[in-house]
Amino acid sequence: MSYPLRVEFEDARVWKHMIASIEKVIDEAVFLFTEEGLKLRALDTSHVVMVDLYYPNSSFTTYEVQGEVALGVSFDVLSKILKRATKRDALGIRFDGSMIEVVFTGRGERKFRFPQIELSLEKLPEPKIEFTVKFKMLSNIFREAVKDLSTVGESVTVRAFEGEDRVIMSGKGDIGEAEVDLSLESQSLLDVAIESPDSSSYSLEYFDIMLQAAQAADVVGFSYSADAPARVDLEYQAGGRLTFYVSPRVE
Amino acid sequence: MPSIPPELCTRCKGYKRLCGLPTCPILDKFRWQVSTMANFRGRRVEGLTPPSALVGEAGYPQVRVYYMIPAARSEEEAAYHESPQEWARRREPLSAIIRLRSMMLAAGMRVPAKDPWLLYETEVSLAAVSTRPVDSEALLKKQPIPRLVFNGVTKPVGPTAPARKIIVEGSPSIPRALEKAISDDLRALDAVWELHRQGIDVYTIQRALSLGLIGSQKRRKIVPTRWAITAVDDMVSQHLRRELRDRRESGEVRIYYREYLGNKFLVITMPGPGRFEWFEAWHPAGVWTMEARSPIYWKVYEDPRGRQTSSDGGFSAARMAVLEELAKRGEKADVVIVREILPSYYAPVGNWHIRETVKQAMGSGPIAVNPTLKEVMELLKEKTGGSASYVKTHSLLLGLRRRARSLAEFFSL
Repeated sequence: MSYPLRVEFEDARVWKHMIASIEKVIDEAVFLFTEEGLKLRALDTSHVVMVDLYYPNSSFTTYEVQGEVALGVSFDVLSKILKRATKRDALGIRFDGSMIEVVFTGRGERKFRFPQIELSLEKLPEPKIEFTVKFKMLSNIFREAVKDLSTVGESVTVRAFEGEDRVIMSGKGDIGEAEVDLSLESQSLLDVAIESPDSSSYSLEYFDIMLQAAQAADVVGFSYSADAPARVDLEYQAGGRLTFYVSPRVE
Repeated sequence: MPSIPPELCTRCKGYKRLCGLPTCPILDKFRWQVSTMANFRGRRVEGLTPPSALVGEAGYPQVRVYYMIPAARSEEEAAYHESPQEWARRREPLSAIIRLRSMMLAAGMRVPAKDPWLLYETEVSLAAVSTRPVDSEALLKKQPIPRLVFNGVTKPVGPTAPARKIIVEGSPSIPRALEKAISDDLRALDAVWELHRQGIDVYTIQRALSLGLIGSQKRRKIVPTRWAITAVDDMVSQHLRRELRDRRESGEVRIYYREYLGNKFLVITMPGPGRFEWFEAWHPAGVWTMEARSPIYWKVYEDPRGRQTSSDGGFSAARMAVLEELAKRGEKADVVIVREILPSYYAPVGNWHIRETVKQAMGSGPIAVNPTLKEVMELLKEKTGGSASYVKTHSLLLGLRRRARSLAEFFSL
């Protein structure tokens, strides 16, 4: 049978983690498969977080798309299915024109079919923000930092120090304060570029949401400028990228 | 009495055993302080069940089903022993409710939870969902113990005795919608919603779910009353949320207020996608807070899809009442509910009063529309006193704290 869409991905668990995070902010959205690759861009209902997913066609082991295919998906449903992914499962996504098929291939083959939902494709613009501070770290450093700050705080303030290649993330809440010091010198940062020593604050709850997706990522990029949205890039093997834009807190 | 932090007691309400003791010392002490009004004598008790029935969870999957028969002469009198809506409407004081409950005999039977058919065959479960009192007879194994037992979620239970047999003599009158649900094979979630939509009152639905009358035929079970109460609130809420999902957001801030049984409720609805915040403030010297020196606070947050930071039966009851009103208005809204519990709430009589009082608050119209933030704070202080500052520092929805800006400020959306 020929499908308008048939793609395969090596490690289903990467998708399980990514979708579990996205599901926490977005109910439903459109996956757009083009010749180039897979794109998804969606906003949460309170317009505080934007999710931007991009996977080039080369990151899939099979990528067959007839023209452009837009799949309307309920993340609640998709996440439930992907939770069934286990170690060594490869993921297949197929679309026959009405039903979406999710296939796990590992020991044997397990198939899930569910209808796509009718959604119009929102054309959200690429946010154009000049970031004055950019830094990169391993994903486990990012995850530990967010977990440290969450134990005491509800907000995170990021400060950069020019000429020191160093950033401090600090959290504050009802019960106390916490601080995570990251620098090139301590090897907690992989890369850092500071144009001006800015600081900005964000709600930690949105960073908590990223934790699961970060679990499967290799590197996390963090960019921000004073009182502007933060951009968090989770970079995955084979060139995949999941980006969260988080708006700043009101001072 | 051992020293137990009152924070635990307000969460546990004698039910979760958070202190680690096998039975709740507060409730144990409490049950003897109330002398029961009616003494049932002999081993054969005849009367009209209002209807009223309760399933206890101790020993699950073997559960104890209590079938209540009040010492009442007329149908009207009997029905009043199990009429939460009427009690709230007439603003019955705590003492009257305790008296009404203490005048009912609770005949108990041990039944496996997976066997609701035993109750169905003997019509016990059908009598329990009747719209009118049903003539019944209980043959007891022992003399009833004259006492009243409290727990935080259900109504108090009067003198109890194990039953040899319960005989339903009258014929239960079952509303057609419920009759259909009993014979249908609908999932419990859908059956509950269908019954609610058809106007069956929530207490009857609770008993129907609890006694295993609804749900997929093969999966029906007897469900302890405490679980069933919150399950019904949550199931109805889930459907109401779904109905509201595509509705417009409310354009106004409205404040509602009502007080009953030493419980004050302030409800604020405001523009938003349907988030809920529930604040509870327990004053010292209440049932659960005898040992406390300052008020004990508790907060639950629920997102527009119904995911909660913590499951809380009181919140579930209040939230359903608010969602019903929003569904009537056809608007979704963010909602903050503040419950303040005064020491005058000296006996826990079940969470029905939360549902009813909040419903009345919503039904009697807002006490303020589009107030300024300052006015909101003033109303909070005036109506709920001590909890105002807690709410101010802990509410994410009220806009009294720092909030995130919209991404729309930074690029065109």
